[in-house]
Amino acid sequence: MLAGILSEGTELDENVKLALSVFLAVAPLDIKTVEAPPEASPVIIVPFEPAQISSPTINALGNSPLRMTGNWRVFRPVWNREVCTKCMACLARCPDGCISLDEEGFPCVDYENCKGCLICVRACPAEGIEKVREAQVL
Amino acid sequence: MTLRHCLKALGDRVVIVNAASCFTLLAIYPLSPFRNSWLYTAMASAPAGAQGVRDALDVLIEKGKLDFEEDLKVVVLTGDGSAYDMGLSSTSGALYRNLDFYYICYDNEAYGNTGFQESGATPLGSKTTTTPPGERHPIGSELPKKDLFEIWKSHRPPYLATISPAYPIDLINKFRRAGQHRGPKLFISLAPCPPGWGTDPSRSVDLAKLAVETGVWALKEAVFGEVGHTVVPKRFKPVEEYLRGQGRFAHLFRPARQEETLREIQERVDEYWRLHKLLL
Amino acid sequence: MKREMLTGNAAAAWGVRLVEVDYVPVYPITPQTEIIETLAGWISDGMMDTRFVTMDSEHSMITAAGAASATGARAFTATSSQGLLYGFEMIYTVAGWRVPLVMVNVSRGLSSPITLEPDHNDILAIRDSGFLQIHCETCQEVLDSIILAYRLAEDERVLLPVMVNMDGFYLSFTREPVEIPNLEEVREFLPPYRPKHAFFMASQPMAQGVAVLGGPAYSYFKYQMHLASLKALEVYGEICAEFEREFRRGYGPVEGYMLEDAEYALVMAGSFSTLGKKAVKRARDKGIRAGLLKLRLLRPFPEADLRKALEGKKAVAVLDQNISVGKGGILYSEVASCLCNSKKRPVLLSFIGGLGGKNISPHEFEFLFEKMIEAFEEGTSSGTHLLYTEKEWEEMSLLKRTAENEGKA
Repeated sequence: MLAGILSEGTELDENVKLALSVFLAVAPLDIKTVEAPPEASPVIIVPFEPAQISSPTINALGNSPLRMTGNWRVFRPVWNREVCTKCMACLARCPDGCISLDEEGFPCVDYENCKGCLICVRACPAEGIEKVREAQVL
Repeated sequence: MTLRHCLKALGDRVVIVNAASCFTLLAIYPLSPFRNSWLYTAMASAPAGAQGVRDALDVLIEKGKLDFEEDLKVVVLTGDGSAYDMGLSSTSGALYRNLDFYYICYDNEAYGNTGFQESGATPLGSKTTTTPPGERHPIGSELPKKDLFEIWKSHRPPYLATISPAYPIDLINKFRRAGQHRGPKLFISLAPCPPGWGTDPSRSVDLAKLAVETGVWALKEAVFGEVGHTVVPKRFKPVEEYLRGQGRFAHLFRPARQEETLREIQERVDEYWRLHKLLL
Repeated sequence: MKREMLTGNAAAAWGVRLVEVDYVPVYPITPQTEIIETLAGWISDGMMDTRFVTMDSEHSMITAAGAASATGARAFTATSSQGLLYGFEMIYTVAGWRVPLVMVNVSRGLSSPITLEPDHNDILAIRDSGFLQIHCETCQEVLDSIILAYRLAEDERVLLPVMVNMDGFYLSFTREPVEIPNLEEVREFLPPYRPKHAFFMASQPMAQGVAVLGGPAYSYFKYQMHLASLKALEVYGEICAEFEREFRRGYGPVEGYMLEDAEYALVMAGSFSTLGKKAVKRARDKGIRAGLLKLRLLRPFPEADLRKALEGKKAVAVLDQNISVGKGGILYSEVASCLCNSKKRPVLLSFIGGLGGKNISPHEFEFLFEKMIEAFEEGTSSGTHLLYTEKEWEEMSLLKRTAENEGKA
């Protein structure tokens, strides 16, 4: 079926081989289903609250970092301080704005919010940022 | 990233008026990444929302109900779906009324938030989920991209520019120049969209750079309709270099090269630069 | 105070002038246009200190009006029919922002077929949006309702937008004597708008109209709108009492006409109620104990007042000037729902009349009262009855023949 899409026979073979190895690498496990206990929270009468409380507005601005989004990451950027020239190219390019400078002027990243896009890795003229896999699959 | 640079250039005293786009999901109750004010309106009418906010601030200050120190810059932020298609009427209205506001359009060349469907900003030959290349329609999107720059320019706004995340200094300079004018100040930013474009997120800046180096994305400005190019590559790279690395154009190369379409895309780019006498 | 002969539209414009609005974005549509033309004239002559801007559509117009309201200005706008539908998305959006925008809708039947004269399908289309609705019968009511509407919308317990409705042509272009209150009196009744919950200023940045993800947050915000709307019933009672003390004109959420001792009650809304009142009078002359209940507030729905007024009647007929295609009268369902659990429930009848401005003749009202008596005697009633005369049917036949549509089937 894939033959029409992939022109090279070898590419198809390679893919099949790769898919098979991934399939075999996953150890079979028994899945037991347990019925979740029904929620015990009682139904309430929702009280009236004036618009000052109940309008969909946010007064506490700039509070997004409270919601940690770093767990999306597959690769993590790691800085090599020996190579870093403090040029700040990574800081300027970070789409998330989660790179800042520490007391010594080296870039440091908020890993709780870094999504691992690795634009910084490519932006670094000194090639001083390494990408490190978050969790190694055995 | 562009947004971050834009906001840096604009300062804190800003209210962003947003239309339905990926950015709408930035401010989700109870969290907001912005230190400035924000109003989500609807997909079609962010410029009308900007009109309401601007006029209200003006009239409240005029009547002494609000201190002039409390004034804000009004900034419309939308995607290309809203800017190129649904919001054209309200944008045209705001330009016609010479509304004093900024407009930043994030152009990822399709309806990205809904999963990458064709929009008026989709370029010729792009695969989208509504222009899947098939036996009868092998090239993907069969229509060339609308020229929003020219549509906006026909209203003769005081300032209009294209920007790119790969050229932050160009971007900051343009915001500085725009700030000298009252009236509409408009920006269209090419915004690589990794899931839609079929590219690795780390390559986003490189791609934006390639778009400029191949001439696909012209960095320019228009002051009261007078066009000037701000970054002109000394030698244009072939457009293929930009296209080849992107999943949305992969069908133009494999299984067989679609020469005619590739030629047409290149020809359209050349024609643009010849028209502006920057390509001989 | 002065007294003038004003059309419904001019009365609306006077109301807007007296509340000293900051901002009026507009878009023309028949039969509302006279309101914005009148305001434009006054603003141009410097008689109102108001910013006026013509937008590119009703969708933009309602967005701009709502956004100005969200910035902290007192805003006004008006529309009709197709215009309301074109801006429909923003009606829900602005209500969700919890801002006290006041609008006037001049009712007109909806396309298609496209038409000019009134019925209430336009205003009832936004029934569930969160906008409060005040329906007017007279030009005086239009002017007074606009003043009341701002007071109600801006009350901190409410903070929902309000739509004041009048019937196109029948009220919008009909001149009646109207008392125009003094500006000072109105200022005393309606203090300046100083929002604590929604505004834009540099020193206190605020995100408004933000997205929510997840049912619990969405349910919370929507239900709070509902509770605020219900709260508005209580607030409306307070401010109407105050209005009556100040201006000597009173408006309840419902108005009874010969209703107290009536056995047969007719329920109506809008300017056609005047026809209904005449019909009630005639029925009384013939010995039928008829009465009429006019709905002034449609949102929030004055359920308790309605129940109190209609319980124990022999029969109640709801005369809807609208049609929910595939169901019938919209108000019939609403009235029925608040009487269905009552032990003293009257027999309920559903009539539709006045669609697209069709006149309702005395004979049609007579028919309606006869049907009520019949239904009481039989103890039941069913179906929806369109009030339509034989003469109208014959005229329609002539039109069909002229269009060469008759005899095709």
